[in-house]
Amino acid sequence: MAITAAPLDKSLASREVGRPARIMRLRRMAQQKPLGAIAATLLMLVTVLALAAPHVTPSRYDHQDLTATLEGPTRGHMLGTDELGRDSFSRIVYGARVSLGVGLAAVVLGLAIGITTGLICGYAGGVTDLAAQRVMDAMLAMPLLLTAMVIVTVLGASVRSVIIALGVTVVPGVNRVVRGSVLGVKASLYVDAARALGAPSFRIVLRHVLPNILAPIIVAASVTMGFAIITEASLSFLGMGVPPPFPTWGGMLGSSGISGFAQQPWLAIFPGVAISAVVLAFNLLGDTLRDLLDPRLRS
Amino acid sequence: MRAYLIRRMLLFVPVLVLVYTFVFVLIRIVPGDIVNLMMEGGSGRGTSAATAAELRHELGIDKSIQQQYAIQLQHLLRGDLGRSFRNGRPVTAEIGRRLPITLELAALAIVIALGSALVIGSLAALRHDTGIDRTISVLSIVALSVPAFWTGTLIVVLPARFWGYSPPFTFSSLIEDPTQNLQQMLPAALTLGAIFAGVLTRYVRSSLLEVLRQDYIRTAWAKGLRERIVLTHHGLRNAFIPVITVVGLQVSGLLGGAVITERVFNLPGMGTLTITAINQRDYPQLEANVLVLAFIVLVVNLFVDIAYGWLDPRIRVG
Repeated sequence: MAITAAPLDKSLASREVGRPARIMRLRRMAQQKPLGAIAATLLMLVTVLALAAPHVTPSRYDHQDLTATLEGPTRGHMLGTDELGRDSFSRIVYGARVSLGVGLAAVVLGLAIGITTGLICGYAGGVTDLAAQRVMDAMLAMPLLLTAMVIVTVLGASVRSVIIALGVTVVPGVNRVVRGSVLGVKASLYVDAARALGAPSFRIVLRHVLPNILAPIIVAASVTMGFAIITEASLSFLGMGVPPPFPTWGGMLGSSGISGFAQQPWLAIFPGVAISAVVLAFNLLGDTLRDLLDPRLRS
Repeated sequence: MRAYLIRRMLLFVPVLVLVYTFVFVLIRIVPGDIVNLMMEGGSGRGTSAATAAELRHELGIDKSIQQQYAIQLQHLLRGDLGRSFRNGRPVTAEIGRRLPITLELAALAIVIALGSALVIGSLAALRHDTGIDRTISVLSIVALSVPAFWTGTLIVVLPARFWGYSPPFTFSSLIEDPTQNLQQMLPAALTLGAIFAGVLTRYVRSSLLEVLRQDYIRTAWAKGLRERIVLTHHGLRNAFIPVITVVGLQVSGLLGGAVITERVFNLPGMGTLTITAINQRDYPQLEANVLVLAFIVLVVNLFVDIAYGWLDPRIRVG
């Protein structure tokens, strides 16, 4: 049905896009949105590094060299070493696996629950919506970091519990975005038309509503990814995240404590740069996607 | 207005009950209670099973979760939030000592964030589509992407390393010793405020841009008013309305950020108290803390909605 084709792929539908044309399009996009392009490149680079960690790091994340503790950046240790002589660069690259992996899994979980409940709340409305929104109110009234802390404590410190905790905390935000967008789309003529043709609600929601609210969902996913990574880092910083010995960016800033940093400030600088850069990239990407996907904001 | 207020306050009840129930049930599923922790501590006191059972009975955690919940709700209705498992004192006493610290931190952070966002955001809007505007836009995203515990750590570590200065690490109240209080509080508030300045700047900018396109701004210019008057009286006052809503939405995030900032700067506020309560399985303290924090979030949002009507007479509630 032509109606379901969202405005975003109009240019794709109009003509067949060959390989060179696609590359041209990417290049033009990168020229128009340099920040978005830089952000996307950075994220791809970090992902590749994280996946190839054993091949790009000089040593394993838990390899100790007690003859070279608390070093600054040197030839052998690009980003220095910590108080146990572990190579900071290696730990940051392995730590990217936690940040990106946990963040991605949590966002997928949160999106799955948030989109499902959001579609139901927005489309069904009534008592279901009223009750569900009070639950969301309650979750939003608590600082999300505290909710995540309580959930991790309940489930015990592990990768899985951090993913669940973060996934749950992002649900209310996603739910609100989806619900609001559904309410906007629900009143459209094409939804009326589908209903008049006798389509079941289930089909209307999946085939007519969902494809038309993908833009805000994609934007929310990118921004939520940044939020999940910063919250995971906060949990690790407080010692309630992915347990050692596996390195996390937040944990690297928390564990060794102030005394180590006072002797070797570089130790405190690089993990923070890593978190900030990745979160910044996701936020910039979210902004770019918003500009590109939201026709109302397009200048 | 009164009917509206009462209706809004009534809506607090289901939300607060849900928050309370949520924490109440979750924390009790956690393996290991305070008695286990005390025995692990091996303080040499009678650690027999009989003593443990007696202790649990004393604290009322030997009953089933449903029974405990029923009893707690009765106490709550009488306005009794319970006593801390850790020191046996009413949890409200501890909150009374800690809450002002968190509120001071949060208030300072909001002032810093709003103040800088109004100035910087207006500058970006007035210099729309110039290098200044673009730089500000990027910087504000940077500000909200940098984790508070990192900037906080750097603020503590770097001056100590290079200039031998560090903020005081023992807390003194604003009344006791204002200088020392602010020496510890200001860096913390700056750390926390910077993030929200990033968020708010973006809203001030887009909101002011929207307002500056309105007819009444053109009228104000046409009347020959000075730039300052047009900007503040006609521009910012109207641009402020959506911004104040965002402040309301950010309060919960602000309190969450306070948890971590307090930890970095060693401030004995609600955040520190709550982390301790979670780690020590001090159920009543944790439940009361979360209830108080949620209540603050709800009240602030109510205030925001009232302020909304006050700033914009078109949407007066009634």
